[in-house]
Amino acid sequence: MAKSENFIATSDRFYSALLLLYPRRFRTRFGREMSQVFRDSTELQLERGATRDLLAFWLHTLGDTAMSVPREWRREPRFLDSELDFTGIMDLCIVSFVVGANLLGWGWMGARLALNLTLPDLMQYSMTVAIILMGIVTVALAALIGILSASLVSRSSRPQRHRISA
Amino acid sequence: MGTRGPSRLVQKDPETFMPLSPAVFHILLALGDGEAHGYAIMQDVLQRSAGVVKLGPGTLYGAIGRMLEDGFIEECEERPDPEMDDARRRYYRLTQGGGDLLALETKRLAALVRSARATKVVRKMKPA
Repeated sequence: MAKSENFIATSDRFYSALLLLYPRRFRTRFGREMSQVFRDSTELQLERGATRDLLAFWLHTLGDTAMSVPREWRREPRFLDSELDFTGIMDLCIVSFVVGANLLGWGWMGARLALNLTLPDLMQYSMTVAIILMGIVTVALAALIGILSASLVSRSSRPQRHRISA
Repeated sequence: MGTRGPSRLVQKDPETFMPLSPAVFHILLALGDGEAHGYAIMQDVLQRSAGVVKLGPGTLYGAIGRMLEDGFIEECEERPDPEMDDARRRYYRLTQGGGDLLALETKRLAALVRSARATKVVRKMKPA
């Protein structure tokens, strides 16, 4: 009995993690009901006791999630503001630029100070590889931080409308 | 039974929603005899289709969300028997528009079946 309860609890947690893939609006509205339906279905499969059925149910749930998540994301723009949020885009560009420039500058300075390397030493290993790596890391980090910051700023400034009441 | 929140009226002609997807048609069918919660709809669809149509939670609630928006179903405020039921469940039922849509699709499918039965291949088949 405890074993099956543990299994149900683990399944619940796993399915709750899967629910995070859905858009927030959809998750807020239907997340609890979906979890409940999933839990009921898991209990039913456990009562039947066939491992094969349980596995088939899980595979079906994964397939269902894989199919429905993109569908819900495709529908999502209908619920956002009709006008493009240029504030968010500007935030993204500015933050990316500032963070990128800082990472580049301070990273360079840090490497020189911490390793006590002079400019020729730093580049003696492989100029090309160093530049490529530095570029990749800088751009990726700057983009990530920029997107996160812009997303936070635009979300907090966007009026809460077109939400189906929970 | 009351309904929770304002339900938008169906402004489009139900014909524009035809043909319905299997999930939507089965959900309408499951609600044809009265209100039901998500899990009951899922089980009803499974039984009615003899296990052929299996709705996962994502497909089920995606379809329910669209049908709520289009005004074909609405959420019931009260539960059939609150003492016997889990408070977390939400019940749904057909609106007038949903009933009309179900009737329209049933008529379309019936005409299709009649047409199929008139073909040589189907006429030769033994009745199940």
